[in-house]
Amino acid sequence: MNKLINKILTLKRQRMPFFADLRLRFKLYGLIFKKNLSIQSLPILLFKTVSMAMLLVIFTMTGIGAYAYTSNSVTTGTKLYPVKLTLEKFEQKINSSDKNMAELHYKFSERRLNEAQYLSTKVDNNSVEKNEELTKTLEDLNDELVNASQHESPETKNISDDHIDEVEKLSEKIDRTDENEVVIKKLTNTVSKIKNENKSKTQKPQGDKNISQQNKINEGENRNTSTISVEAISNNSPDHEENEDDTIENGN
Amino acid sequence: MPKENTKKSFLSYYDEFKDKIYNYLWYRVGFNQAIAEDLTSEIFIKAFNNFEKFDQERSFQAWIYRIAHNHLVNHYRNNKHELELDSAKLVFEEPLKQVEMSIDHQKILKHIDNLPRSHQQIIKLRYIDDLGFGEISEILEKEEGAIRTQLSRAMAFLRKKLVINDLYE
Repeated sequence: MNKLINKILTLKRQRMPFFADLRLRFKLYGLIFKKNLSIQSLPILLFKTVSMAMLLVIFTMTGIGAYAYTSNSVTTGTKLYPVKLTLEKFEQKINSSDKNMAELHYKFSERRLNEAQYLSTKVDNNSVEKNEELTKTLEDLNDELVNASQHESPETKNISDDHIDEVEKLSEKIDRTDENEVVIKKLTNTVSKIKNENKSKTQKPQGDKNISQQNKINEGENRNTSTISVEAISNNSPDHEENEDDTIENGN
Repeated sequence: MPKENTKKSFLSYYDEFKDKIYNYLWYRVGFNQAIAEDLTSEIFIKAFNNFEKFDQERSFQAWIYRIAHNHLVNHYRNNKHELELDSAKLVFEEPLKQVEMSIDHQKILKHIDNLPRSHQQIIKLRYIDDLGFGEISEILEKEEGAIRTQLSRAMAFLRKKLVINDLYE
């Protein structure tokens, strides 16, 4: 009997395979981790995790956003261009006054100009895409200039002559194609319109003096008119006859 | 007992008994590695989930083997139709040829697997799983004396079978 028992005792003892052990061990670690999260520590852990994730997203987003917002090489057609436009739209929304809007659109027009200048260096006859992108940027530049001039006050000059000169130079530099011809014409018209407006604004101070003088004269006239009207009213009063008599008497 | 200590001790228990439980299952699922792995995993997860109920004063070995035994019974019950299709011989004979084992061992195992289920169980628990009578009685929920008697009967039965087949004198 002992021989048989010994034979059975020497039967192979199978060990758990390494990878099966590893898999199960990780499952158990997961379960232990889950069970160790008490109700009190869960919100703190969640807060920590979420805040870390948020910070990471913010850092990434602000980094990308800042680059997209400031870089001239981020032009229409690039992946970050929508980010740039979104940030501009956001900036537009938080600025409500006309003065701010004028300055903002002027700033955007400067950006579009820089982008157009950058794209103009990349454009050649063979690159249809780049030509399209340049045309689109010029169109946007025109829109921004129109918006800036619409929002600015009649007295102040927000759009500098230098900027307009730059736009003019660029529009002259770009080779005309069927696609961009209309846009460049539009841009040229806008440029000449703004130039005229700027000219009239520089002439304004002299005109303003005349206007103020005229206003003073008008004020004086108004005063006289008001005296007359008072007199006229008083003439129509029931004491009119007495006054008339007084006047006659005084006159006498 | 503090919660953290409990978790640590479970992992130390796991390290101590993972191979034993795997071996227990391997000999009972036709030497099928995949099934043995799955069942071992399920058993330890079940044990972990119920570890707070485990009385530290008692034997962990008996407790984990009890869980394994019940889990195996459920496994057989759920896969009853498969077992009915394949006879015990088919289930164990073919895989045995693939297992690296001496011919003597293969023959002994084959004869153990042909014994009535209660005899098989007790021989395997005592001589393959190296469990004490106390632990076997806990697992099978029988008196220790009854286990001893049953084991000696089972061994006598096995020896008889082996003598008949000229494998044991």
